[in-house]
Amino acid sequence: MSQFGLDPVIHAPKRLAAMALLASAHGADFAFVREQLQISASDLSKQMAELAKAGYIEIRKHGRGPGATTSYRITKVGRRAYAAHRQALEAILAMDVPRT
Amino acid sequence: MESARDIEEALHQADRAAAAPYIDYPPIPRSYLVVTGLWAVCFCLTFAIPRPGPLREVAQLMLIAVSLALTRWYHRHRGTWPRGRAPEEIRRVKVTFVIGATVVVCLVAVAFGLAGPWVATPVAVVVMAPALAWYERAYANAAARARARLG
Repeated sequence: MSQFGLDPVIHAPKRLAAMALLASAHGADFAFVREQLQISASDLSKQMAELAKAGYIEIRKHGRGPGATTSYRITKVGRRAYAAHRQALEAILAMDVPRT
Repeated sequence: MESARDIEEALHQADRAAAAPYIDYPPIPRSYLVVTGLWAVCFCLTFAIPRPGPLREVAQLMLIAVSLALTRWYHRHRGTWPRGRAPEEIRRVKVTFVIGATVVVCLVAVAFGLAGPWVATPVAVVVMAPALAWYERAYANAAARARARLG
């Protein structure tokens, strides 16, 4: 955690948007998240792997071969971390203090 | 160094992403209204199945299973399923829908109580079809307004 209570795992804009999306869904599949974040497939996999490593999301694979799909779901830990991070961002904004 | 503008932009992007499960969805299949209408007709008619015997309950359970399967299919087709606080525009439509659905169920129940399933069934179709068509249109308009607001 940084001085302002910001979570470095979530702070990257792409990961923040991914966490926001998953916090307001029962889950989302790879194609939907990729379309929303407008990033490449490899970048999305990388970002989501970071979030999964921190225990903030679960990655689920369904099926095998060309028809296989991947979906994501936020965990309880992730939901709490996102809420705290968002609160920290809003607090910084309210203070209007530049962050180093 | 990160400016207030950067944080505002990040929060705006987060708000847009949070709204996505509600406002970004593929077109509803045209068969939706017909299938829903048929389902309602079948469900109403199950009450005409005479008792004793488990046939009525079996038919109703099968119809509930069909509706769950269709919901599951649509969930996959959509790629996500929203939960939690919806954007303001969608919330208003949902509140109206809940009130409208309660009125529809009450009307069908009254028709059923007064005249039985053979009258309740056409009443269900006549009341449900415009209500569902309104809901689909209102939801689509609300989603478009939310998309315009969030960019």
